Amino acid sequence: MTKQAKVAVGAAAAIVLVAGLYLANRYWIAPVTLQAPRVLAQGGDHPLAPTFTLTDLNGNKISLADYKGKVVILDFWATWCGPCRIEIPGFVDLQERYRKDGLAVIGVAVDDGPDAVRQFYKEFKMNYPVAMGTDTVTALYGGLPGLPTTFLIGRDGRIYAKHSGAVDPEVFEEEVKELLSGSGNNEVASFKPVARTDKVTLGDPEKIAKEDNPEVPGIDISGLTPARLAAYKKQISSEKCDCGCNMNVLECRHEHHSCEVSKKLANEALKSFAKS
Amino acid sequence: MNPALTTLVIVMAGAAAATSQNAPQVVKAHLVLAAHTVHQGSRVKAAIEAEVAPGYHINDHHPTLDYLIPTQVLFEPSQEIEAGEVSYPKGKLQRFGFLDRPISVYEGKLVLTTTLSISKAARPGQYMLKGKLSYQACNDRACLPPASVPLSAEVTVVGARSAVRPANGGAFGSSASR
Repeated sequence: MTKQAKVAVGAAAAIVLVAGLYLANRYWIAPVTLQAPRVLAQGGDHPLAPTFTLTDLNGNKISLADYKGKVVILDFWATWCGPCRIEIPGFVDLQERYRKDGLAVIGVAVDDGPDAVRQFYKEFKMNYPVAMGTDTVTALYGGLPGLPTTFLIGRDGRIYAKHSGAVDPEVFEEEVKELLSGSGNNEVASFKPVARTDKVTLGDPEKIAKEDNPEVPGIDISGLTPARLAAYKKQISSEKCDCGCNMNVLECRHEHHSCEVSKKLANEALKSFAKS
Repeated sequence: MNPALTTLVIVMAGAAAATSQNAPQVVKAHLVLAAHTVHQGSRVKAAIEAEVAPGYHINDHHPTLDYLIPTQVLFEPSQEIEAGEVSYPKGKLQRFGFLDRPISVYEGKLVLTTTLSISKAARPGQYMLKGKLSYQACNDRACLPPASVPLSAEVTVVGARSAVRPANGGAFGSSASR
């Protein structure tokens, strides 16, 4: 066999191997390691909704734990998102009609600041609490690749459906009615989503808690002593972030929590820092 | 290293990078210059060639609705190179299921242009021009968070006696530099 032929065979084998590893990870390893333990540990077919506490636009605390016994529509949205905006009147209507039956809608806005959200809230006469989202809450709910992302939570605190993208209000109404029929003591085993739902993948609270720090947001610095942390921060302050933000890595971590570029650079620096 | 093993390592590194992103990257963009080399005190055209993934759109630089986040290019300040005003293409009016009126958006391929002014004080040498293309993308059901693509291009300043070599004729036509 010629050298070129050997290289070609090697490359083909590598592609097959990588494709195999990817598929094995996606459909076998990742589902087992990331989801099954959480679901099975709690029992039932639907995962428990991660608890959180946020402050709404009026300064009131919103704690998901306080909604136990209610059916909750948890809507992650933004004012700059057209498909999100079109759903809001439907949620206002559902909240109005099903409040007495035990429905609670909670909006979590992921805008950069509250001003546009406040204006929208008044303009659309929203009748349910809206809080500004945090990286921790979105991470707990598995990250948000797209908006809107809406979770339907039953009276028992379990997530029954995750809708990514705009969905007709009739879909939410049918699903809400089904969940309202539950007692809260048992899982609504008969629940069937009316429209296509995405697989619920939740974040690891322990890992997220470690990454939730004001020093280097999004990075687990729990293993560093104060002196090492100071040196680490100095190091990533001297590295330029490649995301196009015109900032150093540490500044970008503070300003753009969702930036995958600065997160990757900061984690790489942390690894090499730990070895040194 | 065995060539086949080298290939394997490269392919695996690419696969790991591709799966580490949370939101999909739906815009590709790069910065090209109209000349390989430029003179001190001269001007040279530059273009940002971008492509939006099928099924997605990004907002016009002058969005039709005030709540939409505009597409825009920003360059890092540089003592040697100053970027002029960026010229954006006219968006296309499109209707989407989530709106009762059409909005102006960019889809597919688009080219943005600007003119770079090279400082008279710039010494012959290589300089890196950096910037970013900021955008916010949606499809007809959902939107992605605001994002940006980093842009960079190497600008080579040569002395007055050296000839300027045009580049990327396809993007600029014949009037590459002035």
